Amino acid sequence: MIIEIRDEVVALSGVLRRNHWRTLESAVNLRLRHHPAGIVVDCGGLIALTPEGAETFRDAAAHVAQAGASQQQQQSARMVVANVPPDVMRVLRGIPNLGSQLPIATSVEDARASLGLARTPARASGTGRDGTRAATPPGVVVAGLLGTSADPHAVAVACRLAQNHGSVVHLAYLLVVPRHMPLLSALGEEETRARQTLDSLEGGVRAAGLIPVSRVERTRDPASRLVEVAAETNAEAITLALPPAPDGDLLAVTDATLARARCDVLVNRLPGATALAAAEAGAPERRER
Amino acid sequence: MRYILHPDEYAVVFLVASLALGGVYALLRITLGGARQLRQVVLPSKIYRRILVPAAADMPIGADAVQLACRLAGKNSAAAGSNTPITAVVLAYVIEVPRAFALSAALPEEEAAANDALARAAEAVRACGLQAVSVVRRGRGVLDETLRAASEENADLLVVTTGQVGPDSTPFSPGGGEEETTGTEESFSSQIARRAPCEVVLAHTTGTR
Repeated sequence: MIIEIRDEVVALSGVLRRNHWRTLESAVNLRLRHHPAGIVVDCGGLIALTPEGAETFRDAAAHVAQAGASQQQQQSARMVVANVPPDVMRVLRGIPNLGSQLPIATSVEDARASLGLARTPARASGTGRDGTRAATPPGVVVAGLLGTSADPHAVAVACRLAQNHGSVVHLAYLLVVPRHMPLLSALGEEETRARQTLDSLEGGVRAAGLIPVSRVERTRDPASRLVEVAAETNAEAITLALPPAPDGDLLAVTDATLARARCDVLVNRLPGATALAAAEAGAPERRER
Repeated sequence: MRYILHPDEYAVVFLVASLALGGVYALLRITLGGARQLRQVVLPSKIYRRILVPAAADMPIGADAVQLACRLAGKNSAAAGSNTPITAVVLAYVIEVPRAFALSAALPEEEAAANDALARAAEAVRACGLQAVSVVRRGRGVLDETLRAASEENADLLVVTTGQVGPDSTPFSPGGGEEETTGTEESFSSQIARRAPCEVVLAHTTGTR
């Protein structure tokens, strides 16, 4: 296997048969010193991946997260995997607690943007004195997905906010692990459903001209985890959506997120059928000033 | 010796078999490809024609509420080929009339405050390139009159920020504070979100933390 490192991008090519973390460790540490936001692992050149080789990603992600925490940075370092060939993705997703937890971006540029490292301005706004447009730094919006029918609305609102900056939308699917089960338990169907939901919503984000980064977050406290994701990604806003008749758990998660988040939180509550019917029953003509 | 097929028929059989296999392959591609496409979720369009931002004496329209309404209006705010924006931001100021007075009683101070607040907010809306509609409403309670306004103004979206209603520890769960505003245990935010005839966006903005 060949490893090439340039700036914050670690490019892997060839066949990853064994755990090569020890080979990568010193180079990654050096990169993190110069790029504390994190690293991007470009898998575009990977021909094949074995389950043992996939442990490289697990060890690397754990080390990067720990390195960020130990340096007491305001924003913890992250590792984003990019440009993953379909065969390699299949192997990754088949490994419990790995494929679903790795942040995966479609391209290296998307991954760099999600780390806040985009070289070119995503969208320009405002005009300078000489008529040139001033660049705005890309912003990040996190859409919290609670596994309800309203999740597309959370993503749509996130896209609407992100369009002002033309940048990254993080789709964080919160997978609640029951307390009687270990946190890393395989949740089978739920995890599959989470991944399918993320795959389908990513397409919607790309259609809006934005960059999706999807992640499945296994947690016992979804509100806290969502707030942590927003802090890690330096998000400007969190969006959530509630269906017309949310249960107590959903409302509690929403309230907890509103209370704990350090960034803006937008909650999109969808109207109930009875409220809509009452409105349609006959509203008098509107009056305007 | 008797053949199953005459040698002259081989070409015809081969042609028919090829066509049949090709047809099956095409059918499979269309159905499976369509099934894959069906899995793609189309995001809700979020095109809002009328966004209502409520206000009252104890629920001022802050800059964050106006800015949020403008951001949520999105880039569909201008109709193609015309200067008229598609989206209108309806600024509805509710004057709470005490029960001791008739609804039509003269309340010059309250009306002056309402007009002043609406004028400033409308200017901010127009600065975003959107159409501003200002409405003064009179009612016995801010919550009920706001909901009535959302219905009568045909609002697609109701925007409320915590800068307006005040920080609430549990805005969505029943039993949250703000008893002064509603006189009931359920918070203003919770009631408005539950009873509104349209979508509601409740926002906690960092300016109010």
